[in-house]
Amino acid sequence: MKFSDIDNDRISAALQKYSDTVYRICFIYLGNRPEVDDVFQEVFLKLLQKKISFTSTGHEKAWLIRVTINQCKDVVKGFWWKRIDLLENVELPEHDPDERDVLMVVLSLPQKYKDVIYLYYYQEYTVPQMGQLLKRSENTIYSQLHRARELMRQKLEGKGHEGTF
Amino acid sequence: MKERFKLALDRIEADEALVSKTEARLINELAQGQYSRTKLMNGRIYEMRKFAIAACMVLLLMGGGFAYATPTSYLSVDINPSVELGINALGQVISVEALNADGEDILSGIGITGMKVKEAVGIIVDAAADKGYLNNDGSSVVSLTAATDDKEKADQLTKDAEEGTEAALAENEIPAEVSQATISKARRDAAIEAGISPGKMNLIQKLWEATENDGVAATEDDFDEILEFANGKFGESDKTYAESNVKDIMKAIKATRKDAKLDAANTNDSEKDDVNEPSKGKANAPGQQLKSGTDDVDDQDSTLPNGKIKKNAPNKADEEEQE
Repeated sequence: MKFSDIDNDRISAALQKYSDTVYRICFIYLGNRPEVDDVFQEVFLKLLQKKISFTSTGHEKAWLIRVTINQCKDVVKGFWWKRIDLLENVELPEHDPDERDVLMVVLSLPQKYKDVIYLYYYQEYTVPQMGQLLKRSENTIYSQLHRARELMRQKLEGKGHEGTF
Repeated sequence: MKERFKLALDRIEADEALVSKTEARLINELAQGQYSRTKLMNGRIYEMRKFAIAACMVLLLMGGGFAYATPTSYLSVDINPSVELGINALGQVISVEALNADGEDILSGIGITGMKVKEAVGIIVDAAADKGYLNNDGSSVVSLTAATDDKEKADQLTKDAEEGTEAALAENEIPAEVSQATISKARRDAAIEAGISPGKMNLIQKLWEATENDGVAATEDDFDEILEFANGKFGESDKTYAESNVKDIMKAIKATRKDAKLDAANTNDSEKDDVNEPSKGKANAPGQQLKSGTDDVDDQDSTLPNGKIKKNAPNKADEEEQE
């Protein structure tokens, strides 16, 4: 890849546009763990190196979300990851306690449900769109969403919230 | 509650230090122009790898050197570039061999020894995509062929290789068929000796069975004949079968079997055109095992008989703009 293809402006523009999106996905999977830095950097490297011509910003964003989710999953699949307690030492910016509870509940979900929760509730993708993005059948997405929602409800009620998610 | 989640997550922001560190690294690495995937291993991951290497050295000293340095199985990746990986008992790639000129082309500049199979195959497929060996129209085929006499190992190997392939294809947004097969080590050795990729040789054998042998499975004795066939001209082209693209060989196999509606049971949406063919014969029925003489392991050719073919759908969820 020639340097002329990737100039400093493109790098800054990509970072400015997507830093928070990528970081939030990393946070959901990895909390404040130092692995976030590696995934974060790698995702941007991939984005800037790819020769895909994105048809729209939505297309680019969906690509980025998918790559970030996959990178995070590769980390949490690792053998030593199982011993890590994600909720320990999570630092949150100033949140009101209710918001904090919701975030902690999302962090505590089994890894396999995090993507559907993020895509559905945060990015507001539809189920068919999620199916395309995650390469799963719509039925699978529906049942994962259902289970994730149920888990969220239970955990939130445990924290004394009205858990309609 | 949903709103609360959105608000809460909105408050999580990438910290400045990380962003500027990333920016510096991107400028640095992309400006160098000598990008290799191995460079992606930075910081912690690299440290972990150093640790892994150190651990392996200890193993080596303790007499585990045999397990580390001897390939217990092989995996050939065929697109048209053909590449073979030698894999040790620990599931690490310990040798990489280009099996044709295109294979040499994609291997130049990438270092994958020491990696896990999934990672290594991902990098190979990624390099093939970067160098234009995979078509964007979904017509390409990536064939993964494990050569081992251990069934469990074969399953793990093809699974890892498939995961790596699918991830690389998704990342490049290239729809392609991914097919898998397992052959015995003896057949792999024979193909290598003949100078043909074992994966491709396996497909050529399927084609030979379908076109020259009335759909009857080949035996050990047929090998010379199949080899002759492999080195014969492929249809109108000036290439031999052995020099042809995997996708063309697969297409020829499908076209031949189509007559006998052998694929019907295996079809998925990638092969819709086969579905409505009238049923004619039973040779080469799905699930049929190859007879390979003295081979220790049954050939589990999942490529065609079992129809374990997948197709990456192009991503349509991407269309919507949301920011």
